[in-house]
Amino acid sequence: MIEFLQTHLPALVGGLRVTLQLTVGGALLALLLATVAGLARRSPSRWLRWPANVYVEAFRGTSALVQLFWFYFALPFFGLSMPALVTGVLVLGLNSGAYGAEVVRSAIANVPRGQWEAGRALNLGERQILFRVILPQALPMMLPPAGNLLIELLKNTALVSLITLSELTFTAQVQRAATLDTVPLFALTLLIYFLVAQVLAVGMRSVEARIARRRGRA
Amino acid sequence: MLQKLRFAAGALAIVLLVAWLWPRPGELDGETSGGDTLARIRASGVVRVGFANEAPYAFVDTATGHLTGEAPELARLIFRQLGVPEIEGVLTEFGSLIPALKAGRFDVIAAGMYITPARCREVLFSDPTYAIGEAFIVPDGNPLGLHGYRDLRDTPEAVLGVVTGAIQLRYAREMGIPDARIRIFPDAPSAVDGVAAGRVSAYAGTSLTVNDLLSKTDAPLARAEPFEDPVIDGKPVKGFGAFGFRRNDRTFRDAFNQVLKATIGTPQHLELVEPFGFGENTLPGDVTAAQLCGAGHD
Amino acid sequence: MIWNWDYTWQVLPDILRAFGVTLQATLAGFALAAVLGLGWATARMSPWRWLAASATGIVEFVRSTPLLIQLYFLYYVLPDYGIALSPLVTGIIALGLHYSCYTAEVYRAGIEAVPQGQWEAARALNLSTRATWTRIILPQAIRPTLPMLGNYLIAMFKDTPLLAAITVMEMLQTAKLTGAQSFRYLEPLTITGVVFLVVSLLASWTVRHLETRHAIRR
Repeated sequence: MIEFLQTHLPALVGGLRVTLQLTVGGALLALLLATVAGLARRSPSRWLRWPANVYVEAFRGTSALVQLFWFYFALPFFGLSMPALVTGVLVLGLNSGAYGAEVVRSAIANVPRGQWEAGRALNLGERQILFRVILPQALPMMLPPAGNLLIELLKNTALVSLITLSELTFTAQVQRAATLDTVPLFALTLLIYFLVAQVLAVGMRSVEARIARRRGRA
Repeated sequence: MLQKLRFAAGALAIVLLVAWLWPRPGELDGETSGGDTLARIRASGVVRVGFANEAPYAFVDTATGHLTGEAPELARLIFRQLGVPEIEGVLTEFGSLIPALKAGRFDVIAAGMYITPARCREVLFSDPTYAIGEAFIVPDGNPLGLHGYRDLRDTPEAVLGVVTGAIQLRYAREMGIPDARIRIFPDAPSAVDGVAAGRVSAYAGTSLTVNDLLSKTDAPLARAEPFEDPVIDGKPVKGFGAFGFRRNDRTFRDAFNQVLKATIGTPQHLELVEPFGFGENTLPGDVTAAQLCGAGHD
Repeated sequence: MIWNWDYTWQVLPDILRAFGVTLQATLAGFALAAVLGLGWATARMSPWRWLAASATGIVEFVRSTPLLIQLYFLYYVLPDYGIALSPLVTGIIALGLHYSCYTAEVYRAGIEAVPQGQWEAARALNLSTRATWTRIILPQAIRPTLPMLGNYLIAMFKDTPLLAAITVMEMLQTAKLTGAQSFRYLEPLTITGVVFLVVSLLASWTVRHLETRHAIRR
């Protein structure tokens, strides 16, 4: 058992590092895209709405793996070629961002209309209402689904192994091919993903709690 | 107080995490496009090579994490002479090596890729670094004097062993050996046992496979030397492996070829590739890439 | 012009044929997930604590870990136990098992939404446990979950490209192989993406349409 860990753990930790790079990078990008696209989808201007809609429908309606392959193999035909890590972060961010846009949009839509009206009655500008009245109330509603999306993102990082990036899944495969410790290796890998997912879940829950407390005070 | 400690611990954890994840210089290296590739890699001191993790051609030794194999080792030797001390492997699926090269993910394909006319249309090949033909494993001393498929066909008591699904069955039939004198084994080790036990007179496999098998067995067996490759459709059957370059890297490829010419076949070269099963008998001879690519390409 | 139309028409039949495989995997996998999910859901509500706890644990674990590794696990490990299945069947089982953990949650929510009064009335009428479940509880529990199940069907459809990793000749694998042979990835991958997009858009509209119809009827 100790030997097994000694042989495999260093390599797996190296793979985990890449997995986390993908997760953090993808999450940050997704956050940005979700906010921008979510807001754009509610915009009265069709120049904002349509591109956002196209983006969201395109990335939610196609398979993440196909998107990954397309960006990695097809884009170079247009002269745009990026290393696997960058491609991974980009596609994961775009993919999760599309789902996130829905979360943002529906959380905002669920804030009672009265809030908007009150804001207008108090003579606040539309943008002020959005950022200072609505969003703070929408935020607690976004967090639980966002937490789920984050775990989905973590699971999707495994797909990047298929464009030969040495993240955790790929590393496990390489180790397996070399030592044939198939069952223990995959079990250990699954365990690592599970533990990371739990850490993320706990993290999100503490953020939710903190926001809830803040809101109570506000 | 506890609150502050927890906050500090959390902040520290995040800082450490970010430090661990932050990309180190060189990790995000992407493509390189156009320009003078040779000048660029001389300046940076590193050349990125694409490989597909296939032993013994180009693979990562999992014990050491070191990229090795016939192609990477030869590449190191040649690039050092070109003024580029280091090579860095970029793992790619074999089928994607050529598109990845064209997309600039690396600068040379070092995977022991066979030169074929179809591939010549997409990339520039160096002159071949090895030629694998066919080979026979026969009992020590080659009692029946079998030096090729033709000899076997012309020796009425000789029986040929091949492995199921392998291409040698097709070669044997095309060379006119009757099915009654061909024995099909489930795998190579059993075929080798068949020769050792006298059930067949020879086992036919690729040259490299034969070398690999002979290195693993203690039985009194040997390669049939000299060996005559089967001639099919008027051409002897042989696979020539080489390095692949982008089509606009002609000067780079030519510089490589110059050094390759001086290196190939030297004792230094042979010593380098012998651990992988290559050797004198896999030298490509005078064949050039241009010849293998056919009309109009090189 | 970068896009090659001749090559597109050449490649299209192969990809559409592979679509058949994709469809097979989706429908069979979903059938498995739908049935198995019900099993998990009832196990989690079982009075036997160990059964409920194990079921919950397994469901949580499978849901939090990547489908890709579960796929590899089945593909490499089953033959060691003498179970020789084709890659397609292995893929179907992996998809079914993974998604059954999602459908289990859906069923559980549905079952818990059935008013307590129904359970009590069933007991008052002296109905057996089996009759209670099959004739009173499940019919009420499952109806409202159908849209959610529909969404998971679509999600599974978009996850079928993972089967390419275990050599199943579905759309992505076909696109990859033709791309490798012709050195042109742009057209096969784009066609694959478009097929996914069109099918999943149609499917989501259908699900949404059914949802509104069902809501109105209630």
